[in-house]
Amino acid sequence: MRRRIILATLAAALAVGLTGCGIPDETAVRDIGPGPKPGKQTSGGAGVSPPTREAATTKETFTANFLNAGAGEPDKMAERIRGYVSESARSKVGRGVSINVIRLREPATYTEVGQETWKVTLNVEQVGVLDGHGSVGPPELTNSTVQFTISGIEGDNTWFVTDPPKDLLLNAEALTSTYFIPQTIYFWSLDRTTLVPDSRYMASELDKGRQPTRIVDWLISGPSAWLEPAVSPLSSDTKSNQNVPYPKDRLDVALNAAAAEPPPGTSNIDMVLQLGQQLMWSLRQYVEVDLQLLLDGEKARVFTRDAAFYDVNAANRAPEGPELEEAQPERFAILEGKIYRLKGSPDGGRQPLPQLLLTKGVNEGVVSAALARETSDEGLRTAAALVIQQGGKFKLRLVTAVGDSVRPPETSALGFASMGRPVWLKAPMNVGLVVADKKLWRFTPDGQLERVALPAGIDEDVADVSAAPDGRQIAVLAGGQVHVLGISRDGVTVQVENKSNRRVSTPLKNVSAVDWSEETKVALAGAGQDNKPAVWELSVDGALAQRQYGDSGGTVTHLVAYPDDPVASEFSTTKVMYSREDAAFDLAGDKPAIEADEVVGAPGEVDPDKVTSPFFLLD
Amino acid sequence: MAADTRSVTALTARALEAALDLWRRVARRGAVIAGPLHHTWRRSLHFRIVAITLVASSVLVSSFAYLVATQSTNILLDRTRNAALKQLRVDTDYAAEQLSSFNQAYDPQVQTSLRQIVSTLSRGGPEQGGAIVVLTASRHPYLKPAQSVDVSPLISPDLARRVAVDGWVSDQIRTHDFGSAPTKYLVTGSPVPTGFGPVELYYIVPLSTEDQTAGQIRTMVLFTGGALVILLGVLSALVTRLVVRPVRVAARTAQRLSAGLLDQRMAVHGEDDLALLAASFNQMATNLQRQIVRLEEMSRLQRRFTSDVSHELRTPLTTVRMAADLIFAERDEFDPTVARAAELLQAELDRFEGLLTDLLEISRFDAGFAMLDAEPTDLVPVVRRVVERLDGLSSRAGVLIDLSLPETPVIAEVDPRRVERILRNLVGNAVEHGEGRPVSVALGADEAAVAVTVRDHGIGLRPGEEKLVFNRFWRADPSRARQTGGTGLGLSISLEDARLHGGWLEAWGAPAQGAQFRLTLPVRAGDRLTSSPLRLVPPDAVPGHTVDVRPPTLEVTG
Repeated sequence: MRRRIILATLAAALAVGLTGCGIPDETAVRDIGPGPKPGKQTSGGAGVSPPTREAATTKETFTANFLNAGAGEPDKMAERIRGYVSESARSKVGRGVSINVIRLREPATYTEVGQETWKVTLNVEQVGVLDGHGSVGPPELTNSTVQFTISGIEGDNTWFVTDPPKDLLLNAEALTSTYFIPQTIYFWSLDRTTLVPDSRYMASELDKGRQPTRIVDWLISGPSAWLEPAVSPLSSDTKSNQNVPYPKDRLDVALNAAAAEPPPGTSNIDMVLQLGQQLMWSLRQYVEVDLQLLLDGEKARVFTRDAAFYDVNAANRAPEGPELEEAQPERFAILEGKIYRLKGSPDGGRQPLPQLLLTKGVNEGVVSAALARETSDEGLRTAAALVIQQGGKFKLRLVTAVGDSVRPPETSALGFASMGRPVWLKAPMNVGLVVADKKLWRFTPDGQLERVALPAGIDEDVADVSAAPDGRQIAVLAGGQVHVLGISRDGVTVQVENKSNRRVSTPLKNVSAVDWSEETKVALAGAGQDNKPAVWELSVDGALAQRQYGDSGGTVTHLVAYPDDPVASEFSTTKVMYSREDAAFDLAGDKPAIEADEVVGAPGEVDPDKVTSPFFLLD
Repeated sequence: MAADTRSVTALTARALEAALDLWRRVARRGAVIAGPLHHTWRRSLHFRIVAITLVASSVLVSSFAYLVATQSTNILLDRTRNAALKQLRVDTDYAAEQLSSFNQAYDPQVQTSLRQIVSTLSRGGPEQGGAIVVLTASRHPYLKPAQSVDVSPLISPDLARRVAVDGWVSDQIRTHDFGSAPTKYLVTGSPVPTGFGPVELYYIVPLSTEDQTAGQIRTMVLFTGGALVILLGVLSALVTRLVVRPVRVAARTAQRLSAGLLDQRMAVHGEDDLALLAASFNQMATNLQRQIVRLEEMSRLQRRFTSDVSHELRTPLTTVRMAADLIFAERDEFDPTVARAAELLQAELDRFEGLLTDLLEISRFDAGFAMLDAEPTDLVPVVRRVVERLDGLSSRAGVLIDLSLPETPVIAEVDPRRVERILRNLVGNAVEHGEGRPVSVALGADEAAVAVTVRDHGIGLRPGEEKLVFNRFWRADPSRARQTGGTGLGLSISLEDARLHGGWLEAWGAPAQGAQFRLTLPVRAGDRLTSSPLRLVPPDAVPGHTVDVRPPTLEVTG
């Protein structure tokens, strides 16, 4: 018996030994510890969602709410609008993620067509189409009247749209309200020397934590259609590997390797660096400390707000800070053919004129002028383009200087019957544009003028031209319409990209002058709905429109704006000066009109009516 | 429930029965093999030590091997587990961060994000050195599990419940065949907190490398252990051989020594313990030999002396005899006193002559010159003749001799002269010590042996005297004068005669009950005796009177 027990034990031990010392085929579930607890709420929470149908009790609020119903996430937009429409009429409502942005010219009118049933008539201006990527493209609709029917529900005190408009509509004011956050994303210019802004609108209801992800998605899906020919998009194979967690000190953006593929024909470019800078500028609002770019197959790179960061956007002059916010541009005006400083300049305008204007024979017979400054490889370049009148003809006098060494002035050989305000294109500042004899010309510092062809569809009579601070977009006023055009530059040649044409819808009539007032905004002078002269600021997509000043005099003939730095635009006020017959205005101060005593250094009694064509030194 | 328990008990009993049956069969087969083994076990110290070493080292080595293999597997597994857990924690944080901004699970971006997270975390999957990662949202049935490859069989419902419902970080090892071969996987799961409630992240590591390594370690340990056991076995065999061989040589030498080959010696190598043993053994053998030779020499000298003395005495005795005969013949003419002396002289000379004859006979036996002259002989006439020849003596003593002889002849291969001498001696002794009471002589035979018993009813023998009676010159009562009886050598010579035949001569006796002597001889000369046809203890013996329960016998073997 004992022997049996021993043998059985041995057999058992052998069995255990042979099977026991390997990795088991299957084990029981082993608990390691409790799972992670939901940490602090990391997301910033969502903003305002568009109003629901039930929120309105009066027909006016209901109508207003109906026009704001699409002011949310694109994928929910159509459904929300359908929610306003009575069941039977829902099929008439369109679908899709694009919505037509309209601006009401006047309050809606209501016509009673039955009991508690009203026909609503809107007089609208078609602003554009807000697409799924938050970009407002050119308008697709042309009608200026929109009609729909609303019905009140008895006892319920709510309303329904019983006969909806066939198109999805969004009031443009929603874009500037709490429903949307205006964003600017950036793409590299075709020559990859500077960043070009692209305006977008992000629904406030999108959780803050997802907003950076959305911006990365926008960057990947490419620039707005009208801007695309003028910029260099990311490779079409680019994909995002992950969401961008936010809020977080370090933003992590992870893209596949295609994101850093150099576009054909380029070389010696640090694509990762450029991509990082592009992301930094586009995600500027969300970057708390720095941004880490993780590309497949690349080492992670960290980007901060360093000097290079501020440099890559030509529209930006200096790093953020109080100095930038308080900096005042140098202001000039022309009095009897001569350029004088205005009192609004720094130091009260007591400094002498820039060196290049002091050369003998330069500051004479000036009708209008453009003065610009830019840091280049050689040093600080200053350039002046002066429109002068010689023998009944308008000519251009061009003076450039590097540091204190001033080149002799050049005068264009061609003379014109009319010539508008010249502008210098920046980054690099080697060419300028001017409208002469209602045509667009480019000029170089050596006095050569050459026609610039405009794409088809733009009126042949050009009234004014303005260049974006990045030097890659221009605004052209032709046939009373404002067009924003993307340009490509190669040396001194300026090519207007054929399809890169965005007509800016404006609530103004008889627009007479245009100038860039911010990287994505222009200042316009024209007549308001009351037919009185007014200065408005519009975003280049037309969505944002803000009246800056109303005048009671004649037509504005000359308008200049000093573009704010993108990083300071939130703090600074728009700096605009203009002149019309008998008066010049600087909208910065309490008293807009430029008084006689503001022209510094003018001899004798100054007649303020003779002060014309004020301008800024654009640096 | 009760029925269940019963059936379970029955089932267990049946299984136990079957196991026992199998065991019995195995044991039977084992016994067949174990028989010779057992024999060898008992016979060979060498085998025993090697076997014990093998078994003990096997147990030790296998315990150690088991420990090593288990520990190494555990270490491997722990390392993998820790690495997986670490990675899972990092991955969980990542997934939580990625999903933190979603508040609603039905957001279409959630499914995309799940896919994206899995794609990022799997880093190309196992083919590209990445991992297998699965994200499930068991609380949101409309969210499909995101996984780089379909590994849902690896996530057991138990694990899923532990992770998803109880919110624990848990792991489990599972085996599954995805087409190539069954592979073991370590599945570690963790809940991932998100804005829309937890989802579950599983990090799956194939354990093929670990399994392979564990297998290699096991094989290595097994081989090493086996080699170690074999080595130990061989080593113990060698060492034991080293010790056992001299012992065997010593045993063999001792056997030879005991067989009389006194010059056998062991070879002495070196100066170790075994050499000491051999030297001591040799010393002992030498001493023994010397002693034996000395004793033999002494014994030989003594025998020679006895023989020589007997011979030397014979010649003067003959002369004395002749003179005494002459005197005895003329005694009637002498003075009656002198005549009486002549008679005494004559009687003592007879005794002296008999004594010398017996001494010579004994010395022949001692010198090994005694020869058996065996021939088929009928023992009935021999017995009868002996009794007849002692007729005179018996009638003088007034003793009746009762003969009990078979009707048929009892033929045996014996030396009739020696048998007659034995019987004469026995019957003479019986008559002499019979104290006038009858003496019975019986002859018995069977197929292998013949036996003669001689019974008297004299004073008998005291316990222990059954053996002493055969000693030379032994007397029951030393004070008794040697006037009656023989020379004191009769029974010794008889014993030697019986031994020469390969037979037995035994005695029984009890005080006041007389004695019985039994002579047993083989029917064929040279056969070995196993039993006697007649009983040694007579049937009329009173058992209580004997001190020794066992019948005191002296077995005389050839």
